Amino acid sequence: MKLKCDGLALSEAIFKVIKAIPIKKNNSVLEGIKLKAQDGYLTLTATDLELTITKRITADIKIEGEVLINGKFFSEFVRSISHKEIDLECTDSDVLRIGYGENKSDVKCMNLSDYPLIDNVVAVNTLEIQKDEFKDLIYKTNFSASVEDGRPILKGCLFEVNGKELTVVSLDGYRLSLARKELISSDAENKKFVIPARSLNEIVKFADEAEDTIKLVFDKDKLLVNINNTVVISRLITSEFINYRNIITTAFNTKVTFNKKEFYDSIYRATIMTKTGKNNLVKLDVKDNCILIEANSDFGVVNETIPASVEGKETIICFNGKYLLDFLSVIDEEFISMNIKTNNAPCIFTQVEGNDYLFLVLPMKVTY
Amino acid sequence: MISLQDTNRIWAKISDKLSISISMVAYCVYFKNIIPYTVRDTTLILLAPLESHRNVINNNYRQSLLTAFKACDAPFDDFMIILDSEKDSFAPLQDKEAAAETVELSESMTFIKEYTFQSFVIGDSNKLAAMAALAVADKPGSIYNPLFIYSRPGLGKTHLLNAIGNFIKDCRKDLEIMYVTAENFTNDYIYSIRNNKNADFMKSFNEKYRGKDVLMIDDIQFLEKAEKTQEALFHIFNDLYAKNKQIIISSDRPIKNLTFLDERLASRFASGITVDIQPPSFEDRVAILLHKSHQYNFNISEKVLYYLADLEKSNIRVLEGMLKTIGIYSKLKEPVDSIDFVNEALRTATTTENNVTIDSITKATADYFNVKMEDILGSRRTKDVVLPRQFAIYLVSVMLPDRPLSNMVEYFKRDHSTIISARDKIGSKYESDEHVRTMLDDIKNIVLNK
Repeated sequence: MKLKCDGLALSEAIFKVIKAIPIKKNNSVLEGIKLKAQDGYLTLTATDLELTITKRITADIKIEGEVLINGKFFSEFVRSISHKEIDLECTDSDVLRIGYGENKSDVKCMNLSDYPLIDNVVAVNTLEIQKDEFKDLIYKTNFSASVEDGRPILKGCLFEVNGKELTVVSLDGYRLSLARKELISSDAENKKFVIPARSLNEIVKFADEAEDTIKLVFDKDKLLVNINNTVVISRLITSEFINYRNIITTAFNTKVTFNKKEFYDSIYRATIMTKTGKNNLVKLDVKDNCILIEANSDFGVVNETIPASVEGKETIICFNGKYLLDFLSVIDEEFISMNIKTNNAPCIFTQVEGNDYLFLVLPMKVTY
Repeated sequence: MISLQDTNRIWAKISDKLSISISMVAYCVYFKNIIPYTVRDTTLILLAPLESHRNVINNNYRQSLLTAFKACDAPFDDFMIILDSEKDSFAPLQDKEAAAETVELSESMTFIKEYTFQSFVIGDSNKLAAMAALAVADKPGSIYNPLFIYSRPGLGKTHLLNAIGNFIKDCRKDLEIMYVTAENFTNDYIYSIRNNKNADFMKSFNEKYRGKDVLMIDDIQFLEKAEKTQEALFHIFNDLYAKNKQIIISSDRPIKNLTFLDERLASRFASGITVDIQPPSFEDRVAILLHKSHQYNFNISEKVLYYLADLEKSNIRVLEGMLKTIGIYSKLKEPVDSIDFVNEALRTATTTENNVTIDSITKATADYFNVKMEDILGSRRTKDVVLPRQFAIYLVSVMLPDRPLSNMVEYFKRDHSTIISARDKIGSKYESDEHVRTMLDDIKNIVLNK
C-alpha cells in the first residue's frame, strides 16, 4: 500500500471513525482502525461489533492495499502533524511508514487477519427524513434510554413507522420520552426497529453534514446511514420492545400550563441546591394560579413560585430534578403542560397543543 | 367616574384581544388570574396574585397590553399592577349606583331634591335635630358649630343634611357647600397621597375642603382605621372653625362611642351641639306614612297605614320601602284597604325571613359572642354563656313568633319560666338599653344576611 492524502482530511476522518472503538478494552483487535486504499479512495473503518463507522476520503493511490493500525495512537500522531500532505506507505508487511515533509516515522501494524469482517447491508426498508427533524427526534428521546446493562432492550430507541409518521420512544423504567415527526418517504409501513441509543448518538453528530435529508437503510438486523461518505452501520436490538402504550395514561386530575423557561430556571436552581443530597428531590406544590417549587439540602432551601394556569385539583408532587432538566433542556417551546393524575402515578409533560412529543416521569414517593 | 361594572366590561374586552395577540396559552398562564381593581385617572390598576405574574407582565407583555387598550378604545393609557398586600393604598371602585351617587353629590354638589325641611315630618323624636338643622341652615357658622347629628340608620340624618344643603343653596347662593361621605373623603385623601409626587393633588385636596363655607361629612363612623385621614380632617376642621365656617357631621352613634376617633377630633366634634334622632313614636310613623302616601299620590286607607306603622318600628327607610311596595299595588288595583292584601303584597319583600330557623338564630348569636353553639344549648350557667343564651331565646321569640313555647323549651332544654323570663328581660332591655339594642339588631341582621 502506498498513497498520498490530505493531512487535515485524514485527521478528521480518524476523528470520526474512532468513536466506534470500544471504551472497554476486552478485545485488542477492535482497538485498531483499518485503512484500505482502493480505487482512488482511502477508507478508514472502526467497529465495536455493534457499531461500525467507516469514512472514505480521496487519496492519490500508488499501490492498493489494507492495513490495521492502533486507533488511539494513529489519531494522536496524525493530529500532531501540521503538514498539508501525508504519505502512507507499507514498506514491510507489518510496518506503516508515515511521511510528512522531509520526515518520516515507522509504525507497527496490527494483525489484519483477526479483524472482523463487516457485513454488507442489504436494503430491506428505507426511511427518509429531513435532517433537522431527525436531529430533533433523537435529541428529544435519546436521553431517556437506559445506560445500564441490566435490560439491553432499554438501551435502545424504538422507531415505529405508521404511514408517513415516525414515532421514536425510549424509556429506562423511571421515565419515557416519545416524539413524532413526518417522514419524507417510507417503505416500512407498520414496521418497528429498535436502534441502540449509542448508535443514534453518533449518527446525530454527523447529521449536520447531510445535504438536506437523511436516509435510514434497514437490513433485517442492521441499520445503515450514509452521510457525506461517513457510513454508520449499527446492529439493531431484535428483542421485543416494551409495550409503552400501556404506561401512557390519558386521564388526569390536574393540568398545569406554564412557561417552560421560567420552570426550567427554577428547577435548575432547585437541582443545584439538591446536588449534594442523596437524591435530587424537588417538590412542586401546584396551587390554583401558580407552582411553588421547593428543594432543600445541607446548603439551604430554594423556594420559588412561577405563574401557571391550573385546571383541576391542587396537588403536591415530587420529582427527581435531574429527570426534569434532561427533558426541559431539549424542548424549545415557550409553554408546556404538566398532567398529573395522583402524586404517585406517572406524570406526563406535553405540548400545550399538538402531540409532537411527550415526556413521562415517575414521581418520587415521599412520606410527609 | 368609571364604575366597577364598566371596568370589568372593558377588561373582558381587553382580555379577548389579548388572548388573541399573545396566544391563548400565555393569556391563561399570566392573565387569567389578573383582575381589574380600580382606576386612577387613566391608569388601570390591576390586581395580580403573585409577584412573578407582575414581573413577567411588566417585562414581557407591557406593550401587548397597552396595544390591547388601544384596540378596545379603552379609556386607559397606562396600567399598574399591584399585589394583594398593596391593596390598602388603593380605594376600590364602587359599583354603578354608588358611583352615580358620588358623581351627583361630590362633583356637581346637587342635593337630593325631595329631601327638604318641608318634607321632613317633625315629631317628638326628631324635633331637636330638626330645629338645630334649621337654625344652622338659616345662619351657617354662627350658632351651632359644629353640628353633630347621630341616629340609628334610616331615621333621617341624610335627609336633614340634604335639607340644609337645599336650603342654603336656595337662600344663600354666595355660599359654597360641600357634602361628602366619610368614605369618599378618605378615598379622596388617599388619592391625593398616592399622587403626591405631583404637589398639585395635595394642594387641590386642601383647596377643595378648606375653601368651603359649609362642610358636611356624612357617616363619620367610616373613618375607622383611617388614622391619617383623621389627621387631615383635624387640620381642615381647625382651619374652617377658625374662619367661622359651618361644619356638620353625621354618625350612627354618639361621639363617645366613636372610640376609634382621635381624642383631639372627638373633643372638637363635641364642642358644638350634639343632637340625636330617636326612633319615631307610633304617631310619628303614621304621620310620616301619611305624608309620603300623599306625596306619592298613593290611594291607601288609614287602616292600612296604621297597620304598616306597627309593622316596622325602628327604620323609616324600611317603612317607606313597604309603603312604596303597597303603593304600586294600589295603583295596579283598587284602593288598598285590606290587611290581607298588605300581607300578600309584602310577602315578596319579606320572604327572606322564611329562611330563618331556630338553628340559624342560635348559631348567629353564638358566633356573635364567640361562644360555642353547644354551650348555649348545654347546661352551663356561667356568665359568658347565660347572656348569649338569653339573647338567642329573645331573638327566636321575636323572629319566629309562631313557634310554640314548648318547642323552645325542648330546643333550649330549659323550663317554661326560664324561657319566658329570658325573653321578657331582654325584651325590656331592648327598649331601654341602647347597647343591647345595637347588639340585638346586629345579630338580627346577620341572621337575615343583610
